[in-house]
Amino acid sequence: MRLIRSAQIAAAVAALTLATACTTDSGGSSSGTSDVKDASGNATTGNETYKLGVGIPLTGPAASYGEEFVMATEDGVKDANKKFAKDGIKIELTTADTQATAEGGISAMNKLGAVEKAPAVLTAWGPVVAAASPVAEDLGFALFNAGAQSPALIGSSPNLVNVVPMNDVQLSNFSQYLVKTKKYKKFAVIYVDNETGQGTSKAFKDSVETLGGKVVAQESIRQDATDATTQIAKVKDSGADFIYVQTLLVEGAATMKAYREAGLKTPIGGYAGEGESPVIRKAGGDAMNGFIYMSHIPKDLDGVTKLLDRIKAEDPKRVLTNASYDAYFYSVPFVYAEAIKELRSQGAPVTGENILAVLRKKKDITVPIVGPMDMTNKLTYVGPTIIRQVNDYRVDPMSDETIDSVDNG
Amino acid sequence: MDLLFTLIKTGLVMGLLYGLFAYGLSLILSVNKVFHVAQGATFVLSAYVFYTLGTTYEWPVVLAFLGAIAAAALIACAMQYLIYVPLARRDADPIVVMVASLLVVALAAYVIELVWGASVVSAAVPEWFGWSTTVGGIRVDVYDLSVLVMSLALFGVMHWFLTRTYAGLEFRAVGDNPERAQALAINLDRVYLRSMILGSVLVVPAAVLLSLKAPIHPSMGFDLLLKAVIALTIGGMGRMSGAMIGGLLVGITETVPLFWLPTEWGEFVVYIVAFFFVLFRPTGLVGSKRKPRSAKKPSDPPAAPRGAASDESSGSAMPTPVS
Repeated sequence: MRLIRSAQIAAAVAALTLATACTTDSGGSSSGTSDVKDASGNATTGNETYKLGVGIPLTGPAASYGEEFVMATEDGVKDANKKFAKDGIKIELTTADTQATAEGGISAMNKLGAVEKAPAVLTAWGPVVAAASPVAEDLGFALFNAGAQSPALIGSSPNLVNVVPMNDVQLSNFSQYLVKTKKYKKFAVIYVDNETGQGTSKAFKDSVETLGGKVVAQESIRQDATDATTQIAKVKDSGADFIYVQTLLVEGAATMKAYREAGLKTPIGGYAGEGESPVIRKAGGDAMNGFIYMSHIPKDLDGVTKLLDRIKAEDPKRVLTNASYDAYFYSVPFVYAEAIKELRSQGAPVTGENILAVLRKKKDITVPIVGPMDMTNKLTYVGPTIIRQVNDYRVDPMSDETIDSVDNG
Repeated sequence: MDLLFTLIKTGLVMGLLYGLFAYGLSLILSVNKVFHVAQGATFVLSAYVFYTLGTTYEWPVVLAFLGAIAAAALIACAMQYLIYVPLARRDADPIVVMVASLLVVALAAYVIELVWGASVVSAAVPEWFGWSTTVGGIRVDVYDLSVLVMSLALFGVMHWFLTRTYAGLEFRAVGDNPERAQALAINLDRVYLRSMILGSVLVVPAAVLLSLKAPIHPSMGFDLLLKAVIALTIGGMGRMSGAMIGGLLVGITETVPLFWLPTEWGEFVVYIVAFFFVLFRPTGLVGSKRKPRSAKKPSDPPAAPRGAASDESSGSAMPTPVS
């Protein structure tokens, strides 16, 4: 089934990419060179507005995540515009709906890159990032990824900038904690049956087995599945010491509900998307207490809390689900503005290629909340890994206990 | 063996839920001769109404359930008068009717996002719904029992309705031969409307039970709709017994092989079985044989799949209603 789905997605992406190549006027090319082009040497001084595209799910099951990400990005744009007003830089957001699918992603990227002519586009979700990268290369825009963490994405495209810590380092740190500190030996994995879930499941297996652990069960669950009794029953049967869960919202809730109902006492954990989600916490109930999760949340927890409070104030009815991710979406307008500032100082045009050239070399970018962001190694930010534990599923995830942290900087 | 028994129980419960979803589809298909895929929209909208009444307004579960039933009935009326009747008047092709029905499902997701927002929400679950017990080492909870009781009860009630009541006999008469039923002074429009309402209301128990078990989101009905269609394919189109047997087979086929296979292969097995039925037994397990094509006379009127009025004897390949 997985092979069939992968083949279908690959075929769809290939066909749509081919169609894109045939139907769009390629304004750029993907050279992957590291030098800024067409710099006049005379600094640009006038006020100018620069578009930042945001390709995010605004409809479909992932839209609730997408809306929150857009709000965080809008707040980042507001603050970045204040900060860089004296430099004559104003960023303007333009959005397109990806529906968190490869096909939707390609359509959105064409709109943002070819129609809106945005030099940079911000997006998330593994299938979208994978499908959008060839479009970014074809149209020549910089593609910021602030949500997909599959290690397979690192260096997969010369136009892809990963501004969120990727799972390879996170999983390595988390595995170290589970195997060396907690002394767990046998692991079971429940993962959502998509590219990110499959990639992360494999990375987790490789990581724990390198450290001497063993993965005794790997069970997939379909996205938006409402019942995970089968997966939990098989994991229970495997005799694992620890269960690692890598799912999205609906099937994540089903997994934790099934875990609670099965009365399993095997320790369980996952990533921030599981541990911080109010929907999953509620579904798991008391069984959620003790859930260990790796988080890439910036160390400036006060800054994150203020950002979340600000989003809540803007939309009081909204239940926030992405505490760890919001700060990275918020940071992108600052990263973009820093790159623009550098290009203006050189008198170079603000193109996707030039934005990427700046980010490949500039080590001293510092943004609010996240702090220093060095993306000179494969255009990928390496952030801290914080290991947290849910002690009371009813409280705000920001109150979860930090039980370990690794500063990968 | 605990794992095998757990998989069997899970498959039975899931299968009964698919059957619950398929009852309404089956009734509407047999009487109205419409493949009412918009049932997916009714399912998700009634789930949201249940959530709004039970969680937002904190009504008791029973009242919220009744509210969802009322909403499903209203949605059925709206679909009948705004979609199926106008299409029937225009003598629309059956494929156009099905496309219209399919569009309603997609449209409903957007309507829900406009009214309730795109966020995933969770219904308030009453404390008694968390009760469970262990039978022979297998956990059984209120959800499992509710699905079982509701499925069997609705099957029994519908069997009684279709075979023992005048209104039910009208349903069967219209489904069997609308022209003849009309000649017997049966008001076709009234029967079509009633069938649409009853068929739509039949999906509410599945929507409410799933809302109490899992988060609610705008596209939550798609997967169940697909499984219900497969259940009808396996069990037999247009038959309540076909819906139930097909649902159970889908549930069992989806879960039991996972005792030996990795979890991602469960649906694959279902599709293989469904494909087998499509190729070798297209009428399903309890479906009756179709009339041979050669039986159709050149003078027969063309198929009149008007979304509301069609007739098997007039060339339509739609099934005859049997409880």
